[in-house]
Amino acid sequence: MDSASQKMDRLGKHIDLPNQRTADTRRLPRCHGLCRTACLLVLCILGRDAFAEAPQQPSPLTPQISKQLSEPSIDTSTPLYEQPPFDLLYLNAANNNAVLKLSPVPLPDRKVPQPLPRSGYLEIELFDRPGERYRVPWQAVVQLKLFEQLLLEQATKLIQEKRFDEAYDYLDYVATHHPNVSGLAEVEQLFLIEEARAALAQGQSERAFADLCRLSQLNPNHPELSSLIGQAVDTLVAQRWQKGEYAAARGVVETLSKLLPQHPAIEKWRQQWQTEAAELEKQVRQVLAEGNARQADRLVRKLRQVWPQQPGLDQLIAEVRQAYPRFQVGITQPGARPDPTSLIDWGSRRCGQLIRKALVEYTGPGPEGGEYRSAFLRWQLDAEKQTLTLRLRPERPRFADGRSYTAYDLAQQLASRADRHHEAYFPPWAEVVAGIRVFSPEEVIVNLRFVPLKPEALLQCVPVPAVILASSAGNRSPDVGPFLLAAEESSSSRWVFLRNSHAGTSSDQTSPVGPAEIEEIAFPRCRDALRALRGGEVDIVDRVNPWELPLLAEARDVTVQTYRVPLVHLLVPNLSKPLPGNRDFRRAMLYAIDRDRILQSLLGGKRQPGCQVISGPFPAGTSFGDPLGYAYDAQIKPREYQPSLALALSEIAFRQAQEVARKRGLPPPESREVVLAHPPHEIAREACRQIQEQWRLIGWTVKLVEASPDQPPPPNCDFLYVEAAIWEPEVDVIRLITRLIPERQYLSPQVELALAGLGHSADWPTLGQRLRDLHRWVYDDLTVVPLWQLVDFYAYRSGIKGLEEPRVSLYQNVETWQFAPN
Amino acid sequence: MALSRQFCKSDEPSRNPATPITWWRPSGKHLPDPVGVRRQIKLAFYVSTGHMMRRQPIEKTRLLREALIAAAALAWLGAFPVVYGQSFFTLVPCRLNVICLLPPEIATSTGLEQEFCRQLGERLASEQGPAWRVSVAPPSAEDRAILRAALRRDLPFDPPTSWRKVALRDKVVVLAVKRTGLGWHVVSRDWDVRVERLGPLVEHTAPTWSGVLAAAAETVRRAVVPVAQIRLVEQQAVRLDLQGSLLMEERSPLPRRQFLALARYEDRDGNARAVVPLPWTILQSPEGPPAEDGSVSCQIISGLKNPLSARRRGRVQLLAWAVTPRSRSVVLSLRNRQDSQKPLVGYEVLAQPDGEGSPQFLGRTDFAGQVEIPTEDPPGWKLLWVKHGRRVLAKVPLVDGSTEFTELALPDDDPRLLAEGYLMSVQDQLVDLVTLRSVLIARLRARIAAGDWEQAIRLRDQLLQLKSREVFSSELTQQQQRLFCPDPVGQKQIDKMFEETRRLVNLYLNPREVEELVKEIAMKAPRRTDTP
Repeated sequence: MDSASQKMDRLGKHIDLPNQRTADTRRLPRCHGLCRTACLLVLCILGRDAFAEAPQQPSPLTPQISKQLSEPSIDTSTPLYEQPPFDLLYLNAANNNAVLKLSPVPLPDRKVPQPLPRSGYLEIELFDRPGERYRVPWQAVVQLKLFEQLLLEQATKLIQEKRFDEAYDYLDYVATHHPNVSGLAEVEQLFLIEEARAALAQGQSERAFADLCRLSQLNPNHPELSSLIGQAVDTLVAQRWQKGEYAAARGVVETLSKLLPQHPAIEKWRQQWQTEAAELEKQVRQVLAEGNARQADRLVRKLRQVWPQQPGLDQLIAEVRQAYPRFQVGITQPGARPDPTSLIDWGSRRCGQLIRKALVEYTGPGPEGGEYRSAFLRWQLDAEKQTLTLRLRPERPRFADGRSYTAYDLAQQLASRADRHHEAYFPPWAEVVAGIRVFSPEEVIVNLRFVPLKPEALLQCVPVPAVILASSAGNRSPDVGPFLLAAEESSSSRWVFLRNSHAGTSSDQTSPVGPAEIEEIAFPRCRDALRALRGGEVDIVDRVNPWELPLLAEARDVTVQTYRVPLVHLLVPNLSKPLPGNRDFRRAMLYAIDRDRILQSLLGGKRQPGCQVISGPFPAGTSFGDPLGYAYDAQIKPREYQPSLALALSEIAFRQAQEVARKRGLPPPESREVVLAHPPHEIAREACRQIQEQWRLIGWTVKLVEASPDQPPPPNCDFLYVEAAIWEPEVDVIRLITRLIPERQYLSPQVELALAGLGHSADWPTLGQRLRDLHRWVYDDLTVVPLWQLVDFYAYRSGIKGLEEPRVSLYQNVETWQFAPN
Repeated sequence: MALSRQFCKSDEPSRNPATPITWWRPSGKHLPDPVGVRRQIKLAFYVSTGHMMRRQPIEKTRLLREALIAAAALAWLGAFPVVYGQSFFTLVPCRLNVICLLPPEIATSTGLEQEFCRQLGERLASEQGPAWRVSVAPPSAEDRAILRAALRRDLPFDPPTSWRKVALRDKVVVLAVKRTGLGWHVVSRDWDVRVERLGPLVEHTAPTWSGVLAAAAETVRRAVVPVAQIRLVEQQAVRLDLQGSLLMEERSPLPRRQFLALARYEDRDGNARAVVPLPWTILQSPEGPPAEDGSVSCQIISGLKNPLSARRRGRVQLLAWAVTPRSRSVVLSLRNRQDSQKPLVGYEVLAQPDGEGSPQFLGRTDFAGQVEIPTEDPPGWKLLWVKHGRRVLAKVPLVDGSTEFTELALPDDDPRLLAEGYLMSVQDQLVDLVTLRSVLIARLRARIAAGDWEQAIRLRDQLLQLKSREVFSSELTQQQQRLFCPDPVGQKQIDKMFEETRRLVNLYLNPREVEELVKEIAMKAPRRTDTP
């Protein structure tokens, strides 16, 4: 016994418990007991009536009553499942065949007994008269339709009327709330078959196939399933085949083989494809023998798509690739205006390297600034004489029209970059150059005002012939790169680049090396490109979203690499507008962004080396001691996420901005709304969507606008999301500010002063210190709002050589790409 | 004219007989001194009368004549207050030498050339009346050498010595006529001897030879740049005595004009030692007819405090030379006053056209300290503001196209700007801190009122971790010691900014409120019992 019981026992021994019958109580007169019992009985009777809830006795349902009540009102404008549930009771002729609308009858398991009982009563409550209960003899009941059955009936009716969307809603409701109702499976099957039939009639074979697949899971023995699914498969496969979506077409047949392994369509199509593959193989060998390797490559790629299991396919592919190395690159950001020196446009920077090679190219960070190379010239700096000698290489590439880039062209181009009235004016170059002379047909000498630390960094421009520079007609400079765009073979989603026969070749090779052709294929989403990569439709994907890296984790024949230098992601405010021109407002908006969280989300919840939140406009480097981070002041910590501070500051700033707008004569901001423009790709979209959410939390509505980076930003935008390639900070930060903040009167004078001092740095430590000072000024002023730096990835199928070397952009060494022999 | 001759000594050939004698104050101001004049007259009078008294008794007629002379002198003295304020420049005609360079086929024919010159002279004389004294002649051998340079904008011009002699002429107008495909091209340019400046090039075209004379007269008229003597009336206003304005037959309304102010330093012979423009100073005359005395009132617009009142040694004339705005941009270069080799980079330049309205941003100086000032349409003048951060360093006038390049020396304001930037960031930190502090205090009070002591203690700890007033002040002091501006005005502004920031820190970061809350928590919060 437990201690409590022991305690109670001890208590009971000391106290006479009232229920113990004592001698005294035994001696009570008997009449007293009778009286007590009688009183108790009376009390019970009265108490029952007084205290008990008066259960209404169901009245018997008479024909007169049923006649009065037999007008059920059912709302037909609202779907049944949105109405309060009810049942319908059908009575016999003796009750005027009345149909009564009832509150749901509490039947066991909500099942109507079948057959209906012949005796007894059914208690009902009328739907329209709650509280009125009636007893209906089972004999008078012809039918009792439960609500869920009514739903199924309505669904069936809608199916027959071909109103499938509405029918689906009914079925969905029943499946969710009444999954065990009888008849549900049949109605569902009816729905699937009818919808499939209708879809086939309308040519929507994809929907029909999906319905029939589901039907086969529910009822593989449905009598109409085989014929209908055969029709759907035939139509769908034919459609996809015609579009060239061979893998997708094969996928349909594979799906069918899993559901209905014996279906005749499977074997039919497989046979057809094998035949086609054999024919293609024959064609490949034929054109290869004829020397038309390009056509052979197209055919063999098609062959691989048609029937990847073709025997000897790998060897055939290797043979064709040897003859005609062609690479297909999956992209998500087309380059509208090819420019290999673009700071903010990924696509332009990428494809610019193919067709418009820069005079001097950045290849990666070095111990003192960046490392550069040039296919056009060699440079030599004489610090004593303050001259820069530029000698053109004999094997330099030619323009697409066959012209050579001469010393005169070079001198004119350098002079135009120093001319403040020319559109090519570049202030850091103009500051350095004192004079330019053509020393010989292959040599140009530049006299310098002072010796810059990295003169080659100032020569990052695309060669332009002098005649184009002098022309005011805005003529486009001819392409000069290892490849040429085949415009007639390109479309809005595919770009074909053929090897430029005028491109420079190395002197010790007689035959051209590298790819003969590169085809860029645009995909709307990165995962589509990754699917194509895994499926072999493309060989390379130029940019993989960090959060989608796991999609390639299990692909053994795909390699993922990182680009050598990260990009810096920033918000550039439109300083000419009152709100973003207000320092406090910019600070408030930055406090309102949880950058750590967004970055984590972009990285798929994982940590990536080199990806971090930053406090300034420069990259922080990817590791400790990374020379790329020499401009970044690591002692300046990023501002923390402070939403309450952001809310208060933004209010203050809003009122200040209204005041300033009135003084300037501009319309004051009326509503708490900002416009955020961003480039049209997934990383920017996702980041801006999250920024939008976080700004909404502090009471600001954000309108997102997509803007291509090769165009000027929309004039009404308040902030512009930018991914900047600040790889040579001394030069690139000036280019960035010049490009994105053209109205210099709004630029902070301290930032202007810091920028002006960069070019005059005598040595690298001084330059580093000045850049860090600039970091501090930008941090204080928030001339640009720093977000994070992000390392980017590219992926390629194994068997490709040349892509394993570290690079800053995809086509950095495109001339060395080749397929590895098997 | 007669008055001026009374006071001229014609036996002094080096002096221009038309130039009135003006008495100079020891300060060198170009104003007649009435008191000194009276003293001199009186002394002369006493001397002469004394002389007269000491002489032999004279005849009555001689005595009467001398009495009349004395009376006339007294009358003249009485009129002097009216007369002394007037310069005689308005009564002096402008002596123009027009050098006419005709095309060879005309020039070789002496008769034609002379006839053209004569007709041009007569025409100009009849049009301008006594205000101009014109002589038109073909070029001499000496003149020919420099005529080309005079008519070209891009060639340096060094006039011969004779062109600098004010005694001989006031202006030399070079006129050239050339045959072109469209007829006859007439071009003219004015060289002013007093201010030693070339005027703008004026061009005209005549389709036939018969129209050349009229075209030539027109170009000469337009090429002649008005010159005036400056009379200082008030601190910010002057009167310009335009040369020969009272000799003009009609006093037609003058257009609104800008004048360049120059100081002409002369030697004892009246030849110019130097003609120096007063920097960043223009005189603006309103539209309208000149005053009764032929003068025009002008407003002084200058980047200097008292440009006309400065002490000048020697014989100095203050002259005004009309400037014609042109549609040509001007490159403004800002230089460090202490180190002229150092350009001032990143300084903002704004412009107020005609000195009115709010200043419009033009640009910032580039790496060479230069910025291009565009011209207005139509060209006029503008007031340039030079700003650096929040400080306005200069407000100077500039006439559109008056020159291609001009330089302005300013103090190096970079240290002050850096201080300003640093203090702005400190103020931002202060705003953030005060805001955050207010938010935490409000939340803390709410927690105390709700009795949520755990949260209250957490918020208290957050509050105590915020930067304190002492830390702020210490950082300010350290930074102030690092900053030094060589410009005393800039240094003063730096000190003032620091003082103001310190005041804000002391005002808004008062620790009393936080201390009270900490005490309140210490008193009211239940003690935590530590459980083993």
